[in-house]
Amino acid sequence: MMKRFLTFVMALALVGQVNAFVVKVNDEEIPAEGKEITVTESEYDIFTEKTRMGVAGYIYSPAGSLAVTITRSETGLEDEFCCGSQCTSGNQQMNETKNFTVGDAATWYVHYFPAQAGNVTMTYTFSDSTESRTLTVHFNYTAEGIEEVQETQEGAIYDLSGRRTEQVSAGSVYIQNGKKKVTTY
Amino acid sequence: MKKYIYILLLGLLCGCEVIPEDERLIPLPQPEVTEGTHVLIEYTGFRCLNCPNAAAMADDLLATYGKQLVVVSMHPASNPFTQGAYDYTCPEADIYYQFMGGTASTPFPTGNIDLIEQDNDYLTDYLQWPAVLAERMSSSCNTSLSSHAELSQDGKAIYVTTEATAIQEQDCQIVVWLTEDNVIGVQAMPDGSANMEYRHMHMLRASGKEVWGKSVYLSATPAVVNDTITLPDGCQVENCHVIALTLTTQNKQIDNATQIEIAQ
Repeated sequence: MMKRFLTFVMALALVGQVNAFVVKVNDEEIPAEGKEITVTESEYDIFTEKTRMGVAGYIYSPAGSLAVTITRSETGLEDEFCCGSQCTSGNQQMNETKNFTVGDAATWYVHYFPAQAGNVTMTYTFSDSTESRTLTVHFNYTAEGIEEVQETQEGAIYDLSGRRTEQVSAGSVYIQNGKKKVTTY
Repeated sequence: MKKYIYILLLGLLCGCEVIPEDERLIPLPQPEVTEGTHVLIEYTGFRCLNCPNAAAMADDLLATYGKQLVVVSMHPASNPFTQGAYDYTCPEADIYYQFMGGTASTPFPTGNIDLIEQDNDYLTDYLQWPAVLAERMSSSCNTSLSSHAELSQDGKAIYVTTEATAIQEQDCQIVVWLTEDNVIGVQAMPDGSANMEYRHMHMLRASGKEVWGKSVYLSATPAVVNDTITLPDGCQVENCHVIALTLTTQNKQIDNATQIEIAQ
């Protein structure tokens, strides 16, 4: 009898968990009191031709709608926040709130494009109608340069408009093997 | 207690009914497809991860409906999915996008069929395109049209002549679009990778002189409308098509369309 009662209670708890508002970052759940992380890795973004730093996660929202409040440590930052199939470019404001319709589950990610070396902090508060979770991200960026090549290597070459090209003129910027390059004179 | 549970389970199992083989699949009534050509406008962007899925859906619909469907892929500059180091946009795409209520926050991929509103919204998730199109295919067209497109001698413009009639007389707009296939370039893929050799199809490159077309009163007597499309830089004419369509002036809905090759 006691076993059955405990099983029943565990089942109830499981159902309660499935229906709860859950926000994860890097596969870790953000607790009710919030979470703080530091990002130091950066990579070249083929789509924007800029250096990019990123954070990604997952949302489960029984309510199906989500509000995300973004607070930035300074103005003029270039970033974008995407949730499900909705993306919003940063308006370079200090604070803003975006609303998303996510169904009951969606992945989310942040892309930050640092213009110079340094530290910036962004705080994301994910809210549905019942609960919220706060994530603070410190982006710590050290600058990188453009790779210069002395001669053309193997691999298709693209101009900055995304069109494949057979030739590159001296001093021009082109993309090859996913990397931005400049020819030397 | 256990005994009663087993008896109950046995009873449930024995309650299953054997369904005759000829009743296992219930065929759905197929919608009647009337004459006329409809237009699927696909809003897409090279940074949109799910857009290749929508493109595949559009290809499936083309295979289903053949010449009765024209697909146009528009890359509107005002959505972040089209912004970055590559530019597949054209000003006309943004005009149509904003007319349909598209904004910087609109989810992609999205689209529209025949400039028709569904539940007071022009933009439809790509998963709904088959259902919306099936319903649209059963509606009849009031207008009919045929077009001829020819490249100018200097190769910088395309002259389009369209002849149109209407069963019931009405004010219409004749719109002409230039689309290009096989634009090889970058595209974000659903797995997060970047495909540098992606084949962008049906890409809107330009329209005629008026974005919303030339006004004409259509009746049973054929009306002829001439228009000119300026060929954008970098366009490969051999990969291009011209699409001519009739819009009802009153509500800017597409009534009929035709897609033609360009004579050189």
